[in-house]
Amino acid sequence: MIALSDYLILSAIVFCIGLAGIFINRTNIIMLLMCVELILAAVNTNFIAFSYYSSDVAGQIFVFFILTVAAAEVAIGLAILTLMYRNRGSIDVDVTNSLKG
Amino acid sequence: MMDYQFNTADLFFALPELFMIAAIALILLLDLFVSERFQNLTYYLTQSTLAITGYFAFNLIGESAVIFDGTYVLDTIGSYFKVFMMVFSIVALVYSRHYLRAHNLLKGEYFILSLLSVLGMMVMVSAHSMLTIYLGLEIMSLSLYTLIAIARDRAVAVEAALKYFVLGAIASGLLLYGMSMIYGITGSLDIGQIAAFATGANLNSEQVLILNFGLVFLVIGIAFKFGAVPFHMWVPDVYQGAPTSVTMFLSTVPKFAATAMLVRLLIDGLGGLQAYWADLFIILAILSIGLGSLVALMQTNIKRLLAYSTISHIGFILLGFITGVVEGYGAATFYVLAYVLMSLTAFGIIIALNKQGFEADQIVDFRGLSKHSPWFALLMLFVMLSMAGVPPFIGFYSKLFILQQVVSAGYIYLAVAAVVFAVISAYYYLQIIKTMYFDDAEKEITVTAPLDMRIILSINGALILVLGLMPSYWMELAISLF
Amino acid sequence: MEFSSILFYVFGFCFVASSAMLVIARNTLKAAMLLILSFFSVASLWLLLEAEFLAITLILVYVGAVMVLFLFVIKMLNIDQSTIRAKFTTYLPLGIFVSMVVIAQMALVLSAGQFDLETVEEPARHIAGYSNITELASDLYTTYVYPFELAAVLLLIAIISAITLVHRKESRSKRQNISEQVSVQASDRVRLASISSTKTKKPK
Repeated sequence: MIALSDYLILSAIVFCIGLAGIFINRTNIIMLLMCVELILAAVNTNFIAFSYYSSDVAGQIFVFFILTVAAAEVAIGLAILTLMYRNRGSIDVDVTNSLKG
Repeated sequence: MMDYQFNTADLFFALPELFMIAAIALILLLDLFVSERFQNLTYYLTQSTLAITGYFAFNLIGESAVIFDGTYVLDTIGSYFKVFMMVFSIVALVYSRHYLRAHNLLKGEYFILSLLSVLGMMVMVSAHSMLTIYLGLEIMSLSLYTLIAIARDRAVAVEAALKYFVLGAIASGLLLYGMSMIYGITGSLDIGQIAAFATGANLNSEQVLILNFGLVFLVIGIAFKFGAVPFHMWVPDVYQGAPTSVTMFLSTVPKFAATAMLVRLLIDGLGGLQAYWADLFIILAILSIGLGSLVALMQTNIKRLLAYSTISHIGFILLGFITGVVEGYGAATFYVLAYVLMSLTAFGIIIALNKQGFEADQIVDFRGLSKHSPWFALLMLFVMLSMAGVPPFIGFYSKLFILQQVVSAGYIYLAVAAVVFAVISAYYYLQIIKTMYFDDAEKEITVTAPLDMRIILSINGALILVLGLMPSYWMELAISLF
Repeated sequence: MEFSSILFYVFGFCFVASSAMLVIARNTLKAAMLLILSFFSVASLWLLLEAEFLAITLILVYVGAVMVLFLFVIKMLNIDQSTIRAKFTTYLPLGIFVSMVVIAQMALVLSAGQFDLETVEEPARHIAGYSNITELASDLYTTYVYPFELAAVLLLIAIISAITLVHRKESRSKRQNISEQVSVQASDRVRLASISSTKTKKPK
């Protein structure tokens, strides 16, 4: 039998992998976006596991909206990325360092 | 759900939001078909939409209802916040238009995206479910990312947008993780039911542990949206890189939404855990005030300076929530109001000095302003003295009320630290005043602002002084919201 | 061990392994492929949790649309790998260490007893005729109608933003303008220059 905590620990592991990925891929924006997707996948798993074990559909509804938002977010993010490429010819930005110029 | 009942009369309570959605759709369509000659049409329609929405929100003051099956709440604080947001948005857009004209950015999309982000903020203000808070937050943020990048050919603006976007997406992820934990332990997304669970008497220690676990992630998400240290990395870069009109918008109206998000999640929802989140807020507040005051000393770019000054003001706002009493929350809300008024004036003056292809964003650009334009120099003097916390300006009373509450809640060391940093920060505000009044201008300064902007900017600046003469009315109003 | 438990461990392992390989992948394209694999494994886990609609949506929307967008951008923008690789190794050991500590702490909190099988029993599986989509939809269009409308606004923002940011007027494209071609005058195209035939400049 799989307990709820097993699902939660699984998603916690992936959540941390996503956070660590953000930390080690600081300059590659596309990798950063993919790490954010991992974090969202972990969060969604959390919601669905809670929803299943408490027989409450609200968690699944929330996931439905997270998927919608994430799709919209990716569209805007990649649009900004394309603009960045047009302006600079590269997409390397260290998001944790301060802006120069 | 067989027992679901949809009451059409309930729609009345959500009139501001519904009207705004309809108006946005209409303006979007009209903007497509009107010719270049009637470009002002979009602007005027946007302003009237904001005005009418504000009027609807104003009429709903005093009503309270929870509709749409608990996803929407109408209450006094929500209605007041909406009215304030509409008024400040109108003012911000008046200033923005002048800037956009000078920099060839005057496009219909700018106003539509501004409206959409205001809509997102209204949704956050009226949210009664974690789901609506999240959706409102994303509606607001996504529009803001695009607004920053709307200056497509400016590499700094696009870079700022990208940074804000990536960090914002990470913060949303963390916030959602917290929400999932709160949902898991309380079994509901509804703020009311979360509150009922969190204030319950028979919580065991493990349940409290999980609640706190989720709470930490929620606080991180909120701190990011406020721009509190150590989640402030985006603030200086975005303030500096974004077009000044967007910076002004970003630094003012969304602060109401962030406050509302804090109120909904942490006070309405997890008010039972106030002792726990107050501890986290002490760290955030004192770091914000400290870092904001010290790093600002080294800035030469006025937008960047105002960014650090914002961080330190955010610290003061968070101090008000540490107290855990209604008066403290009221003082924090009053501070938000005062801060938005000051910030709007400061950015308004920066925009007023704009010229075609020139941004007055360096402190040296303000040299000798008093000789060329004594009136605007005087307004800037008001803002700087008020931000530094000099009586009788509104900034003094906002700091005073916060510190009174912090002291009476027993955090004397916090109040002392806040005062010390406020004194340090006075140095750079006075530095700007010195630049304006005692340095000689290197080049000609011309105020290019049109008449409507001059009038509103003057009223805006004068209010900093006038409201400072009667702060108790606004303070009582702020307290009555909680 | 039950069959569903075996499935949980298999898919869970796939999910974690592909995620871990994703974040240390040096090639962005490879990382995108690994993300697709991790989406497939997490969708399988969601099937175990009886969230059929969301599992299918994840595959259709994410793998079908979002990941294609990612791949499109990766191929369209020529991403320089060398600068990325240089920075990469410096942060790796610290990143692994910090995430191990955080995972251990989170696991401790989550396994503290609030979510184990004694407290939260596994619910009975749904009967054969149960439809996950019906249940979701009946809630989505009643209780959650307001968020549903807001989601529509969000998608509108995505459309407006993408067009505002990336769309450019066709200044570069070389299209025919028929009306201009038809109404062209001889004077627009031909210039009569009178050049005297006697004087010529000698080239040096």
